[in-house]
Amino acid sequence: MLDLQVPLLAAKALLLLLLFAFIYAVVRRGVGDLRAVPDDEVFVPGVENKPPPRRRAQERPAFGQNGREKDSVLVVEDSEVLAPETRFPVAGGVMVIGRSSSSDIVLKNDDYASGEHARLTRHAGLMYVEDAQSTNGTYVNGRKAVGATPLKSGDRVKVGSTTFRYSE
Amino acid sequence: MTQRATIPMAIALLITTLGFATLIFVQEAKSPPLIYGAYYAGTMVALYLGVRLWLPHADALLLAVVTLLTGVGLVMIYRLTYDVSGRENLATTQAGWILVGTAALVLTALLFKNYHRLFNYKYLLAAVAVGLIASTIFFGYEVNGAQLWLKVGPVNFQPSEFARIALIIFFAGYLADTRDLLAATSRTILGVQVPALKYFGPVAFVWAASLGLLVFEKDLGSSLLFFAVPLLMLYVATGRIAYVILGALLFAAGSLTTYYLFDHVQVRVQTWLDPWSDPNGTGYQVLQSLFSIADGGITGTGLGEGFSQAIPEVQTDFIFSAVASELGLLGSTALLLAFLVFVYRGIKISLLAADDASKLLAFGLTSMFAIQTLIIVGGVTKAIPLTGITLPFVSYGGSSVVGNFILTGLLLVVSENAGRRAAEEATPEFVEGEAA
Repeated sequence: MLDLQVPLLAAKALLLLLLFAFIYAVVRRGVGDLRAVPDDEVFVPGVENKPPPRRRAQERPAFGQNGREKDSVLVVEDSEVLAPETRFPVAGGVMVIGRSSSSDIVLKNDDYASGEHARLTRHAGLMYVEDAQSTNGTYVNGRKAVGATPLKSGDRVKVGSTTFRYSE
Repeated sequence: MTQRATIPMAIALLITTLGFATLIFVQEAKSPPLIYGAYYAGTMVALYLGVRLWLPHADALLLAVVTLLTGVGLVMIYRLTYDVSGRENLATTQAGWILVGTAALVLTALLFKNYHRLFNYKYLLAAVAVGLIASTIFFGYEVNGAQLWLKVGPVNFQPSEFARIALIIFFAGYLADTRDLLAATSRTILGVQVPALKYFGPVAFVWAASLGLLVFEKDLGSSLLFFAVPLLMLYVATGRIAYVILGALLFAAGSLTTYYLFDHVQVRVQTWLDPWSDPNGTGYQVLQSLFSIADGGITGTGLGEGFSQAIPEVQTDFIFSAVASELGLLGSTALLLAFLVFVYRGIKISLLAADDASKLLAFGLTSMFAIQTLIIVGGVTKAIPLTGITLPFVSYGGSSVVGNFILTGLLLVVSENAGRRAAEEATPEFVEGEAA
């Protein structure tokens, strides 16, 4: 039996090694996933609904004036106080939408908006909208936003009487 | 979201092969007919390829993790039972269950690729869940003190494994419809925003259901799951901490009452606090488990060298102790990490899903998987009182394996939908780049 000891020890070590190799293989995918959150995408207006070409996303070159930050915009779709198709670029940090003049997006004289109505925050490559305890609530795609709600390109965000279209 | 997982799949199958090879040498165990191993590997690879083909955007990493967990489970079940008379064929039976589970996964993916249909039948599903649970009260029979088995023809199964999934689908659909109402607050108590009293109905419902399980079926583990998972889903849907506080209070009240009313609960708690008070009786199982785990040390005794066969029911509830004993701290950590990866992928699927119902469905299924693992691993390591429940995919048990395969199938179709949507969104942006 003694001559079996060495191969068995090797098998045991190999088994443990393989177990961690497996964990490494799946976790590496996961980490890659987190990195794959596209933060080098740049919005170019006017070319939204073309048919998609069959090409891998990784081959897409980085371009635009800002390679790191994603240029997201809120476009006014329908509003009583803002002109339609007004574009508000959404940068990093926290942005406040509300009636008060200190807001980043000011909804002046909108009777349905609160002073500080909603907050936009970018976190880990995703844009979140959060209702700031407003009276009438913030709606994403017609549903009341509860807590921080992640936004996807094309989502409709309703603050007071104004509906924004979010695009990345 | 699109994921190839060929390398993890290959490693997982390699681990299983190496495990069986070691066992054959170390214990001069009679080799199981090689063809079974080929069947197992073939089934998993076919499943993987089928999912890649049929659900190209689905999260295939889940399948790699499932392959590893079922593989390690098979190796351990074979090692623990091949020389126990009356149980020699458990590993083969388990392999059969994995085959059935695979079929169930494929069926789930085929029938419910458009899983939103399920939400239309949510009340029916809730009724089915309650019916399944109730059926064991009337027609079930007891195994080890818990009456949760049902005999249908030649097959014994545990309906609660399937009732759970039905209940989660129901709650996902129900909460997606009513979350606005449930989240609406009427007043604030001690800084906590409290919804109106009438909206606490769902909490009361799951509380009653889980208490019923506990009282009538003596199934501590399932009752804990039935309570915790809907509560977590409720919290995620509404963001109201009040539900969690109320849930915890109800849980405390329920636990205390049942502790004083029922002997079997008292025994469990007593065993947890002091297994040495009756080391050859009630404390025997937990003590043997602790000895086995301690015996494993850092790198383990090596497959086939440990003495974890001394633990009663080691191939089901206590399989984690056997893994810790023979693969050591390192091996059992790797196994727990594999569970963690599964949960991480599940939460990610839930984040990427398009609508509330899908998000809640993915979250509910994932949290059930996570809590189940937590309860049983905590139980066998004496961190919490032991409640008989299976370690997902690893433990021996047909209903558990099939139920978890169905769970994985549902997660896969949700991730397929989310992935397809993401892919459709990602491509137009590329065109914009070309235009610029």
